[in-house]
Amino acid sequence: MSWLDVLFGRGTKQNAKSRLEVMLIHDRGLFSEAALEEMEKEILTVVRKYAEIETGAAEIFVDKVDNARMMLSIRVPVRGQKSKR
Amino acid sequence: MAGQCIVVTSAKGGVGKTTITGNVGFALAASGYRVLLIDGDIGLKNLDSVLGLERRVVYDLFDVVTGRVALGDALVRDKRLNDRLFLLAASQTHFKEDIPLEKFSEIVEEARESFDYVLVDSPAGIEHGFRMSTRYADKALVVTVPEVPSIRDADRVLGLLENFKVGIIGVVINRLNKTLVRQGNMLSPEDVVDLLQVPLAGVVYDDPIIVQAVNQGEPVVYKYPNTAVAKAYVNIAKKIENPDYEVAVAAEQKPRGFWNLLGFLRGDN
Repeated sequence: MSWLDVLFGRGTKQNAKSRLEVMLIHDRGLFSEAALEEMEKEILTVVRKYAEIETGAAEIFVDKVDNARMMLSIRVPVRGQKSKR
Repeated sequence: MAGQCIVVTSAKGGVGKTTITGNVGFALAASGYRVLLIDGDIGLKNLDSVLGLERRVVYDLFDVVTGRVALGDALVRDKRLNDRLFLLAASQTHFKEDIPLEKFSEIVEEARESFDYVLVDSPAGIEHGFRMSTRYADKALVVTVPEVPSIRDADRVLGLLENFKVGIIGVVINRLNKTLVRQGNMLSPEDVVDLLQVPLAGVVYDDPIIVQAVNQGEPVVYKYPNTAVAKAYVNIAKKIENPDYEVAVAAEQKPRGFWNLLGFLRGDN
């Protein structure tokens, strides 16, 4: 903690909270790295049917603990709609 | 109507399960219910000493399991309350594995017949003793202190309880230090509830009165009923009685009087 943190009353609790958020997600064991990778592949297969995807730019991650316990976020940059054939 | 079996558990040791079981059980009995406390910590009994009943224990859980005495004859009656609070002590000379799960289940079933509430003080850990104490419970109180390792273990226990189909009354946050919370150096009750995603069942501030009461073998709720800590225990009892009871985080006591002024000058609070 720097003197600025002390001055503005920011304590170490935020460290505890963000560390726990990550720990609990892993402990609950719903999404292993392998499972996330597998899920990303499958989701992208579906998205590719409808959109042009920038290759290698998609991201999928579990981050935020909220009322639904955690948030699964998927970011897929798309170039545009897939041309209908 | 058959009584309810409630387990007080935490996985992590030393967070205050036994003190909470004793005080909350006493509070329930004081408000008129018939309450049996079972010390599930076989091999390391402690509930008797928190209540100051250690010299009156003759028989224990193991004697009942082996059929040496009937359940009713093994119970220690708390004389401070008129025939409403009883203790089934743990055995110190046996191991947790010596109590077969189904035998424990029979004892709980029998106890439900004559008590409104059967409170089981679970041992630390998630092995045999934990399974024994939690499996036959209808509901659970999960105790944690507002620190990272304890909260992590509480989350693990909540998962196991879900597997056992035990209802969750909520989490009891023990030893909350209000100075640290105000400085932003300790997780607040709101933070803990946010992380664990279960209802708040109680908040007990860290207070030397608890040590003093245990030293004397008296429940805080009996010896120091007007303290904030005693009220916190009573509120946990209310939450057990009524799951809809909203546990308020106790308002800070306003400094008043000469001694508080001294404390203020010394840097307390």
